[in-house]
Amino acid sequence: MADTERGGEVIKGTLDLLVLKTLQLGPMHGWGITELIEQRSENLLSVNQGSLYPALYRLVRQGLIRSTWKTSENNRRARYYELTAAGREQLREERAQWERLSRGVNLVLKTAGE
Amino acid sequence: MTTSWLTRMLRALGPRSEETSPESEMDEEMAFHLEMATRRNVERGMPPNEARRRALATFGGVAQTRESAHDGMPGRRLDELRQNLSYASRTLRRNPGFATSVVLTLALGIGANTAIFSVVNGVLLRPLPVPEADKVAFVGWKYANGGFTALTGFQLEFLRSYTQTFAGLTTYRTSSRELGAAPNTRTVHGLRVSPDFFSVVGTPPVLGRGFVPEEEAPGGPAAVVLSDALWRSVFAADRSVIGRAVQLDSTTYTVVGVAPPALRVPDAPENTEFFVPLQLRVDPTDIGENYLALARIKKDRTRELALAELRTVADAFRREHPNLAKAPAGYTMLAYQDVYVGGPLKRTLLILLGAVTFVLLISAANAANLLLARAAAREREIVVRTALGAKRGRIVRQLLSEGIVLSAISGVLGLVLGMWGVRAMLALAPKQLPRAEEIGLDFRVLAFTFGIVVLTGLGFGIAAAIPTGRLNLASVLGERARGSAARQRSRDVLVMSETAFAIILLAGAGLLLTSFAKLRSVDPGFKAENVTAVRFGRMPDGYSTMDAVSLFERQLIDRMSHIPGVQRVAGLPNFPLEHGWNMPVALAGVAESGDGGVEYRWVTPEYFETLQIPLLRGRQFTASDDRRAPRVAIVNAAMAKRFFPDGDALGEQIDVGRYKDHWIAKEFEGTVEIVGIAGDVREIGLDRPPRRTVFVPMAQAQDRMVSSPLLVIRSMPGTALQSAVNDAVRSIDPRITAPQLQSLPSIVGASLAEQRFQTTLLTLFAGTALALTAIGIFGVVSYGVQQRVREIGVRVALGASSGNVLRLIVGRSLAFASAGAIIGVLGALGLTRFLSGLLYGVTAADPMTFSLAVATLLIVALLASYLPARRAARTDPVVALRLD
Repeated sequence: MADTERGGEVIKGTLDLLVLKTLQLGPMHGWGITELIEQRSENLLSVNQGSLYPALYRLVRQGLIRSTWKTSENNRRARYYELTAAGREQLREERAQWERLSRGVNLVLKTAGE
Repeated sequence: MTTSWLTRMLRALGPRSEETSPESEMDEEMAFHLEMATRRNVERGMPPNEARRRALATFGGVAQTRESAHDGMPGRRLDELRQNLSYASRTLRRNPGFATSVVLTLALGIGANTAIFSVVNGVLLRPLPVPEADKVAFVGWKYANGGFTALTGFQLEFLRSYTQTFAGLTTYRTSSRELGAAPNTRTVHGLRVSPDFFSVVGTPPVLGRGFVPEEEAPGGPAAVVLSDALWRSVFAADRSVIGRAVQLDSTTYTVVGVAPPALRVPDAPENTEFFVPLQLRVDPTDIGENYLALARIKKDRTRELALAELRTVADAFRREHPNLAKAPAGYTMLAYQDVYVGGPLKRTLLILLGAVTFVLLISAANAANLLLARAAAREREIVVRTALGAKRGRIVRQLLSEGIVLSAISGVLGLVLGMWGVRAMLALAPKQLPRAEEIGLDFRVLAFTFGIVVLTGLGFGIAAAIPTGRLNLASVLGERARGSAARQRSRDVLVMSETAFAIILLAGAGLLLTSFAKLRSVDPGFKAENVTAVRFGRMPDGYSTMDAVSLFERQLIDRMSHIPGVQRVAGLPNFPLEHGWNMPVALAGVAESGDGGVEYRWVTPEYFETLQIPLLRGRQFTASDDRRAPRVAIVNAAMAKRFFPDGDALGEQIDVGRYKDHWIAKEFEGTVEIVGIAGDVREIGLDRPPRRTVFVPMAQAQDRMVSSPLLVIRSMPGTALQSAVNDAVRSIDPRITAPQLQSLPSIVGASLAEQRFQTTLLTLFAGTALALTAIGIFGVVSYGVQQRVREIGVRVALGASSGNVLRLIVGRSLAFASAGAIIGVLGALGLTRFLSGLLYGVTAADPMTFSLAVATLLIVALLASYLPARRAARTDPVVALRLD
């Protein structure tokens, strides 16, 4: 698949939620997070590395995720991120918030369409 | 990218090592990401090169990602600082010319400040070598006409018995002795000290004890306290030295103590090697022996209490001895530090410190100018960086970093220059500069230099950054950049302040130079040229009477007169402009003047001719004016005028009136006839009016006056004297050590050492300021011309002559220089009054000096702007308009 067909940018503010959600599946490196988000969103979403890593470092700093260096599936050293308890809590909260928000947005959009 | 020394240094200082720094971890993580993306592209069937290119493309700029990822990391500010500093040092290394000019300019300012501050620190700021120095004071006597003189033994004893606020009251005098047994002796300098000396000074002997009362009584056991240096050099720091014997002037003294090395008191020789007891001469009529009293105020008493008590005791003294003191004469007190350092020196140092501050301000203004000019050259870079999203604060911080890096390098260089400057200053300083040995590099000097480095760096960094911070894309893309207009304004302001500071320094230096020139041209009343001063050291046994010394001088004068080239030789009690003897005098029948005494000189008959002091009336002394002959005196014009204003002093008898009991007055017992009137001589200082003086023939002087002989020789220019003089001395008495010869003009010169010191330094600073200002104006005008090349081209194209262009540019710079000069003159008028005490024959607001300072500065400004303006005037409009 060509890169030009890649999907839209992740909406600002939702990247943290997506990262946390992805990490719920287990520890993962930055590249893996990118791939997984793209796969899960059926290529509708693409993650700009320029935003991903700052987001990762920010989350680490906030104590929501932590990182360790491990050997990757192809025997390379890679930094793996995993959720902390606080991260799991944050994920629940943000997820609920997102659902409220998207339901609200959808409702408004539907009304506007009529 | 080569890492600069600064980056490496900062890394070395940094808290983390290269391997585990987040930065390198981040790099590894990015590399991993890139590799995975490339691999995926290959799996999707791309050729490896294309796969990597695509991966990179989607990744976005690696550096950008790093930078923004960085923003989320702790310690970012520190990293930015590190980056800024390393960037600054890299860009500066790429512009060595710019960096060198800034560094040299600043180093000059910082160096001068470091040098002066080192001296101020050593002399004024370092703790005095006396514990609780604020409790220690000198007590002296103040006469009706003010001033501070030492106490007589009688006044000191009176004070001792009537005061209670002092824990101790002591005194000391300098003394030198021959150490060791003959013939292996050497001269050592020391102090005769009164009881309580060690406790008042607050530094008890480190070994043994101070003196006990019986040692201080006349005829008591001979005891000595050794200095630390003497203890080490002679006794090899032997701790069992107490009780051992030491020969001083062939008397055997018993060592009772060893003084601490830190012990220092004012006026004591720097190499004080011994302390012996001083027996106070307590004689109500004895006004000749003066003792500087040193007192320590009790711990629980204040200075005010002590002063109040001194007033009370002075009242009591006047009541009990109405013939010795009249109100308001009485005791007075001076702070220890003021005596130690001296008010005039303190003032000189503070003035110099103020002056170098102006030099520093000028050099900082110059550095700011250079930085501004360079910021303009980097306008494009800055605008592009701003457009790409660099924050304004970051760019300002970047410029500040450059300022700091530049001033740090200048600081190091300035410190070196400063240390070198201190050495040069000490070489130039008057010999009696107190505490000279304490001047050097210490933490205070380092902190001071560090402080001015940081302030200067921030100061000129901010001066350069403010107008640049206002830059924005629109203004630069627009034809007339607002940023450069703001910068031009900053530059003009900088030039104006430089001019103002330079005027202040020029005016100050001008005033000192004028008064120095006036002092040099003062007629001292004698002719020093071709006169050599001959100074004998300690005389051997057999020269303890005036007659013996007089006979020796008589013989020596005879022999020296026959040396080829020698014209006249005379004996005298002191060289002009060195300390002499004076005595109180009030002549019978003449109203009490109450303003001090007269100078008293005993001289050989050739004195007046040798020094070419004119004899106004009467006759000179002759060889026949000796002990058998009637007693005679010559007075100077000032004395004649003071005591015989109406009549003629010639033939009058000197009568010492109420001071009859004074020992010097005994010189005038019976009748002393005035046989001559001599011209006035400025003998106690070229800046001081001549004092009233009485001369008596040496052959009629008293034994009390005996001291080592001093002679003056007038000879043909270029006569070699030393060996001939040595031969003459040896032929009379081979035991006498060869005398020291010194030219009289150099003694006159030495009397101006302090004035020369101030004048040289201030002139040096003013010269530096002028040069820096010239460089500043030159730089600003050159740059301004370069900026206005187009405009000038248009003017020329429209018919402006090169004269018009020249006038336009030079006129503008002169306008700002004049504005600065006006501010400077106002500032100088306010500041030069601090100089007034140092001036001679010129007022602090001397219009001539001020006009000269302004004229000098304007001429320099004219020249500094003329050179670049001439280049501009030759602008070829075709070339100029094609630019850009």
